[in-house]
Amino acid sequence: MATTGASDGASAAKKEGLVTLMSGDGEIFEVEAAAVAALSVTIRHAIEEGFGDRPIPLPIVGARALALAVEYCRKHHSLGGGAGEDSAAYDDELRAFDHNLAKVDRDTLFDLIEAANYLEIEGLLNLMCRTVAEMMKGKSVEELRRTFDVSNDYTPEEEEEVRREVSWALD
Amino acid sequence: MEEGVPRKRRRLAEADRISALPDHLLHEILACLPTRIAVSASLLSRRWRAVWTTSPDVSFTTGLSPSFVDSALRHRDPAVPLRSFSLVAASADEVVSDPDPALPFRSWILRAASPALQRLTLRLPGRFDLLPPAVFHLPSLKALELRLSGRLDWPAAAFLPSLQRLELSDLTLLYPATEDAISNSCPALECWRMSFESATPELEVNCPLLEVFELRTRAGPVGGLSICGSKIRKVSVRQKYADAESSYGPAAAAYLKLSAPGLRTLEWLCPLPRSATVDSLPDSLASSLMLLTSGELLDLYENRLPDGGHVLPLLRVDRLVLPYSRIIEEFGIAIFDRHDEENPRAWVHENLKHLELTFSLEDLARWVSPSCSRISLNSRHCMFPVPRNRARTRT
Repeated sequence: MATTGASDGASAAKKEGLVTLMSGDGEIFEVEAAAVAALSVTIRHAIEEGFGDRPIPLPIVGARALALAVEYCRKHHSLGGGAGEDSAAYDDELRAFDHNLAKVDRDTLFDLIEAANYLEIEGLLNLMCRTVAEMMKGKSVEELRRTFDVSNDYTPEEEEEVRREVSWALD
Repeated sequence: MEEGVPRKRRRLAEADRISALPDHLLHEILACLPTRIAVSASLLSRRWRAVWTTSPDVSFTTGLSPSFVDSALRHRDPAVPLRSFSLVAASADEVVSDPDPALPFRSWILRAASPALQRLTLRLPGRFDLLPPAVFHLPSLKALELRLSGRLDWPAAAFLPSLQRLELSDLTLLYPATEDAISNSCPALECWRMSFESATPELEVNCPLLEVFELRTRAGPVGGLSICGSKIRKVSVRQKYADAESSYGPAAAAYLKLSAPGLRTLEWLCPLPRSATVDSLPDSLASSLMLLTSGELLDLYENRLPDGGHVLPLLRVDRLVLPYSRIIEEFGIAIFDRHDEENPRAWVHENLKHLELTFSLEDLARWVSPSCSRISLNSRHCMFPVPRNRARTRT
């Protein structure tokens, strides 16, 4: 998990190689710059632009999603691209990690999609979108509405019209 | 931290998070689904009605009914060029049963082959002749996967300047215009995987950014290989014999030239090449893997190289993977003899840090014996995946 300094974030003496992030709800995270910069384009740019010792504000990312995103960056940085060893065992470990991460509740899932999108963490975004896609497979329209709490705002006439429009795709 | 987010907003958001996502994120989700599901999602609500039409990714995976593919391509918004296009037929029947299959397939592929296309996946058994030449001239293409059993002619004029991943599966024959035609066409290639139903052609692998090269043959010899690249970290060549009656016997590659200073893993699971030039390998090759063959079909004695011959100078192996237990029994002969000739036999003892064996427990009982005791390990880690038996070489 991220090192969360309660209140000393901005003023703390800067430790070598750390960068401070501030979630939308004001929590401070001190994390290894190399790991997050390698995976998150947004944070990489922020570091390059020289946020220096100030915390990088991430207004739309909640603390819980940020903690998970940071964990994702750490894991993938240490095992994956470049730093890790090229072996099936490491691939398995990453796969298992991703698999577990994708087991979050539905709300967190969407928080993570938005966070990964904002932080530009491509792998995390793909992982979470794949997870949602898996939840959509094999479901009827009615089941999909229930799964994702989508309310049907079509009038019956409209719905009939749409049904005709895409009839070529329906079995 | 729960307190940080206003409760009201949270509950509101919980109601329908998915529909609140911007189009481009919905497209990312739909990209993971067959187009049929993406289209039927338009029935969900007004929000979803037109989302699929601007999705840049289409994928037809099951029941390749021509009318469905046609309709989908016709109804989507033509202002949004395709980013990825995937046509996957479950079986050859699905493709061949169509009265005039060539026409729609070709026209779909042509339609998809826009300059913006980044990923193209075609798995159409038995229909290699369908490939329009435009496929070999896509400026933005990053990933190309072709699984089309048959013959593929790789034109000399092919140019895929953005291609990073190339995967060619189940080829019967590959005719590159020249040995280095594929290398020349794909200057940005990072990962190159091929599997063949039969013999492989001679290939010159020479892409400056290439990291991984994998070659499989199911039932034929591996052609000569020249592999050169400063970024290459994995080379894997596996040959396997479909059955004992196969017209192809086990056969050594004519030659191997390897110049890859960054190499970390070398897998050579087929008979040793008849000649080998290996240079620029790092002194401490981090994980190279030995060469061996299917113990079942290959008589190692017969297949041994001429005395003192062109033996692959076998490196300082620090990771050794042995796929067949029977090889262990022949291990001493196959490797130690060779090393008596060319290298001190100490190489195993001194450099091996990772021994990976695939075998069953019964096998273990059989060969834990003097021949095994000669392997001593400076073991950093030692893996014993039990008992996958032959599964390893299948993939």
